[in-house]
Amino acid sequence: MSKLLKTVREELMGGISPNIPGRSQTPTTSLLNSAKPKFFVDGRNVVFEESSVQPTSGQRLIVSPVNQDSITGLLSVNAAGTPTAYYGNSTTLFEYTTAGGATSVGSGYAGVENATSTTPATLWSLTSWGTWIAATNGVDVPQIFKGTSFANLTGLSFTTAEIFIERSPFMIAFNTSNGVAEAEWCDEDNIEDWSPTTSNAAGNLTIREAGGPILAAVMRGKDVAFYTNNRMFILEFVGAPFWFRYRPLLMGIGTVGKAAVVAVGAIHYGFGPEGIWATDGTKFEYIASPEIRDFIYNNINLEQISKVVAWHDRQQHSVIFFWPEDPSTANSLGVVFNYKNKIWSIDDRGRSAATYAPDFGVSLAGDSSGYLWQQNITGDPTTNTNSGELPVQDEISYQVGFGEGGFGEVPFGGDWTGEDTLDG
Amino acid sequence: MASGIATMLKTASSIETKIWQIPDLDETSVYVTAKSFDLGHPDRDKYVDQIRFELEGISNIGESVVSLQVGVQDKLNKDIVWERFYLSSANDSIYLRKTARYFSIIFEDAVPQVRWKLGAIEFWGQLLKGQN
Repeated sequence: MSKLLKTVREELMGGISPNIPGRSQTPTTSLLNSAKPKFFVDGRNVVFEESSVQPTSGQRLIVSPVNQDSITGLLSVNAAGTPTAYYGNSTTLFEYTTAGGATSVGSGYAGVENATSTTPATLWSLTSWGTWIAATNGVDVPQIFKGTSFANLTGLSFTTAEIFIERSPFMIAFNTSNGVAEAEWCDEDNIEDWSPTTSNAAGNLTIREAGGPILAAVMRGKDVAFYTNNRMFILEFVGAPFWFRYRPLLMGIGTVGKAAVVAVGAIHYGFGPEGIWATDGTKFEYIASPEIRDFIYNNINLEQISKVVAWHDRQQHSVIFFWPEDPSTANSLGVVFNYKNKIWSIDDRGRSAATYAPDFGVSLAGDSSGYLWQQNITGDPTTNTNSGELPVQDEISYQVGFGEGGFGEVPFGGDWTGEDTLDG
Repeated sequence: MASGIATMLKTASSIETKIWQIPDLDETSVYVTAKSFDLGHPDRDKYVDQIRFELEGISNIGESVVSLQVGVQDKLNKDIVWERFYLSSANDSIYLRKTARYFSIIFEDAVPQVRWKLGAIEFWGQLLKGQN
């Protein structure tokens, strides 16, 4: 019997740490990163769970498209008991049900598939409004779906908006044709009345500290957090007569695009021009290890960076950022941060849109070829279509370091505990 | 001008049913790579006789094509010489029988269709004298 030289066990759980030429493997310094040894220098489509290396969860193709345009926005709802997905590409909006398949429910839009040096790629912002669906892409008149097909939304005070986000009983629009730093909202419970009067609750604010366009908005509790490329703000409900106010929260974090920020409970994770960060709104920390950061920024197609998509994979306790690896113009790689184990891995299932889809029992994602996928398949999909079903709530916790502070905030360390909600 | 003409598209409700199906299989697989590790003894050559695994979930050849490539090097600036072994849970060790200073591995599932778990890798052999 030969002598045991070494058991590689602890090292297996260190995640992927790409070996970048000119940079030695560095010990981690961030409390949001793993302190485990770095063993694997490359890898694809694995997760580090249950003290083992495993293939990432499965997927199933559910829509094979006629056209090949990238899916650039995705929403899952329960429409009167029927799980329904709405998604769009640069020219068309679709409705998908298991029984009915995919149907075009809006077409003729003027979005662009690829970004240029001056114009970002067109991405849809889709959100529910009761039983209706609202959609906006920044280049066409915002759309509303009331059960049959999308049509121009009426009563607007602007002609285009990059972002819609529902903050019941209001719909908030950001980055509108009235200004890239505008926040506007409709009348209370009336998405078809956006013009402020003395007798309604519609209104608007110019975010004078924005310093650039508002690029993304994500719910943070009952408030709306919104981001430029280097700042974070909050829009808070204050009631009549002003209805909303905003506050700058943090400087030094931002987003590269509309879909590049995702909420995990009370924590937002984002992909910004300077790296991947996490924040609770009072402090932030850049969480990517130096190797992962170099891996991204040495390989990303910067011209298409506005296509970055952040997805909260609840089942695998991860946030995944999909991005276009140069020279691809489409999202082709993902870096995966497991917030439970605080380690990184790499996924090469490029996704151009992704959303939590509890009514489908799993998550949904779209890709650059227009394919729609069910993600998180964990059983035999031929016999159990809901085998990837996830708990709606999932307790999560984090330990944070002494991160950088915000506007007048005093940073401090400690544990964050969040209730995993339906955000993101 | 936007319109709402309803058009049926081809759907794939019964097209793809593989569990861990990865698109573009000819280009994509599940793998992890560790390169040029010294088994804790950077100044000594090592004779590795056997590599054992804690590997669960792969019971039948054909479910997945899981392999281990092992690479050996005498010096870091030399090319890695690779050899590939196919694995299953029932056959959880391979005989390498090679001497080298540095070792590398690529653990790969070329056609991922079942969930497996790799919990540990053990290297069995002997430490040899140092060699410049």
